[in-house]
Amino acid sequence: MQSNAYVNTMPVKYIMEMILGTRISRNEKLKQLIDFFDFASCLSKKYSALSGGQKQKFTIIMVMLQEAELTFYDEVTSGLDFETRQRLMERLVEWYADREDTLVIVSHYYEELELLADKLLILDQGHVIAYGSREELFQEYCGNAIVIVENSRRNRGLTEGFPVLEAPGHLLALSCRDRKMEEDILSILVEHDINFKRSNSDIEIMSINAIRKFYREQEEGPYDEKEVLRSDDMV
Amino acid sequence: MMKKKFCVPMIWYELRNLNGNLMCHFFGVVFPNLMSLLISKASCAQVPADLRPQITTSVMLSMSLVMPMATMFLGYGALYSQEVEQGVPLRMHLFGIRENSLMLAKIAAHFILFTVEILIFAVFHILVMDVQKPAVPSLVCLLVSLYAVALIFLVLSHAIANIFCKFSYTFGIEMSLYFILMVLTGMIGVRTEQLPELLQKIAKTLPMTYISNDFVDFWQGGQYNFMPFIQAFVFMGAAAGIILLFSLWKSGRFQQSRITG
Repeated sequence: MQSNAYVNTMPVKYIMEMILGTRISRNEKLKQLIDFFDFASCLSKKYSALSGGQKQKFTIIMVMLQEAELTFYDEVTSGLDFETRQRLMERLVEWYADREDTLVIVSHYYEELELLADKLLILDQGHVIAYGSREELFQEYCGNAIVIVENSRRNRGLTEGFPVLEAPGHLLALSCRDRKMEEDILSILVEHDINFKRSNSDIEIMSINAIRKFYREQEEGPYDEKEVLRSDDMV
Repeated sequence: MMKKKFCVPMIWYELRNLNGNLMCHFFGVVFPNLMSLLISKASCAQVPADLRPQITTSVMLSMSLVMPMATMFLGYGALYSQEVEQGVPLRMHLFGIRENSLMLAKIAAHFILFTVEILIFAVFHILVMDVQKPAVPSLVCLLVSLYAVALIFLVLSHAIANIFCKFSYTFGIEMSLYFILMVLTGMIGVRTEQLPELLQKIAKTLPMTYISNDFVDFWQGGQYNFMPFIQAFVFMGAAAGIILLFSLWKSGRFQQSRITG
């Protein structure tokens, strides 16, 4: 799905009809899909005249009509702007919501996964790192909630003593094990006028910490969570 | 996913694909008729009136060769190389459309277009140009030769596009060959016997040379030694076949290297 390529010599309607081996006017299911993705106005355009999002929709419609039991979408939203990405994913989720088919989406955008996944299977280099519902896994690896701020000397100083989670270098992720701890952190941040993001479902931070915990256990054997949090404090 | 076999809608698709390629229309329809008209007018201005139909017929026979060369060589090469470069055949393959099926449809569409071009060319010359009425065997001979030349050019064009997999290289090479062949086979006014000896020898290995220079001699009937003409066909057909085999071998290796990384 990462690279789309069709001829530019005719309206996409004819390409679609040839690939699917059917006429749009005679195929109710295809008409439904076209309406569902608001693609009808694009049918008379040539492929090169479609926007990035429309090009992806074009391929997705043709893939969906195959009604395969298992469909892989590899980087289906790559190169699209945020709004188009969100809309496209919402449409995909909506379409597959009541179906038995399995949908596998390969994506680098964690927010897309948050929208899609109820259960998570975290894999890394062939290892099964973790499996469970999003809430369970978040609770296990991140706590009740997390508060994310910019990773600056000032912020590190202000939040000293609170458990720190593994996070991308530019971010400081603080684990809130309970409501009280969360309120303490937030009051400090508000008091010092620091921007922050609070989450109880951040898959990216959760995955990073699950993977880290997995490899640490591999090296050192199972360990106490308090130990982890204390050692994270020193990061 | 179900594999889709060759079918009529695929031919319609390829015809639309061809229709969107303006180069085919210009070089396959406009160019041969226009060139035939202009060269005939220019040539006939200097000859007695009774010789004019023969001159016009000779020009028409030469210009008839533009159609297979433009449609099957330039047109096909331009279209197919762009598709290969952009990865269109691979995309179609992912939707279960076999490359062979699409190729068959492409070939059928090109031959349909080529037939339409011949019909337009014939109607134009019957209505507008003062050409000699042909003997039926001569006309059949011309048509068979044109279709055979068209097939050889299609094979050659496919092979060149397969070897280079890029529109720029394919079109550059085919355009250069197109003009070289036009010069060698006497299609742009210089007769083959006026060329240097080496070029004449090369020209004699090309069937177009005989169509362009000799067919007028038996257009209204008469005897003709077809042996050199047939030999030229065999030679050019064999050359195109060898280049095609090389291109298939190369693209096979290329695909294998892509799979194995």
